[in-house]
Amino acid sequence: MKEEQLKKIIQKSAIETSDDFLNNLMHSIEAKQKMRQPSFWWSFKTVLMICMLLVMVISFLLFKDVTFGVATNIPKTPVFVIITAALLFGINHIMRLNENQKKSIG
Amino acid sequence: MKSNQAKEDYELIRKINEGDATAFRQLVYKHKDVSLSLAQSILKDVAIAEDVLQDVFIKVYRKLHTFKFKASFSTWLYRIVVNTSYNELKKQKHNISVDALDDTYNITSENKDLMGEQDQKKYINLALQKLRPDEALLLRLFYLCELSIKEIEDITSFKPSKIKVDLHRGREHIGFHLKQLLGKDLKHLL
Repeated sequence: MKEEQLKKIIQKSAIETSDDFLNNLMHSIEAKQKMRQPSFWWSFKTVLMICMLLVMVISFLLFKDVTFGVATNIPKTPVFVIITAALLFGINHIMRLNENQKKSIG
Repeated sequence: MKSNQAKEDYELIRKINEGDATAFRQLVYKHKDVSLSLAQSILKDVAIAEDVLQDVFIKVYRKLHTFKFKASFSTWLYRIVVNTSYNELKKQKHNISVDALDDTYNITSENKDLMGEQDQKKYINLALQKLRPDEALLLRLFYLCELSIKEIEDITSFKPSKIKVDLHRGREHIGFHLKQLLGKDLKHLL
């Protein structure tokens, strides 16, 4: 078989999608867009910044006896508990975000 | 011709990135049939190939903002089609038996004589289905998409030597299967 003949034959072989292919695709895309989760990176950054801010404020209160001219005498143990809880909450939230992200991609 | 198509694609992609959903519809419409043919070369089943193609276009829609305008869109798209189809083939771990395909197209001497365009397509596709996925895919990339060996290499990641060997084997095999299917009536195809 000659090259040109084969080319003609293969060009005849192109198959067409079903009639509803395009509509189904556009519906799937619309549905997925509605379900779309907020971007992991932005959520991650927000959580990280809030946690860091919280830790900084608490650390500042903890290690400075005078803040804004007001004497503070805060017991250290509860403050450590609050810092730990804030960090654990942050880590937990980030892990959940990661799981949701994986689910939405899958 | 090719560069005009590439320009059209770039224009549509720009519109899509600006939020024009109808432009995406146009882009899919332009490429869906050739993409389906490529997926079917690998998967051998049109229904499965169509499902894979739905996933491919959803992926394309999500990743379109990462498309670099250095390469042609069709090369980028075909690479996704080929990779996704081979992944699906691995998942399925079975090929549709040729016997089952033979049942799909019942060839009689009566309908061979009255071969219309649709019948010709059926016979050619039946012959292509009997080829190995690599051979059928390369034949379609080379003759249907009219791509160069370099472009095929970019899409499939096959070595040029493998592409040339498989193309040669594919040519021989499709000729053999078409002769077996059609006998003397092969001349109606040429």
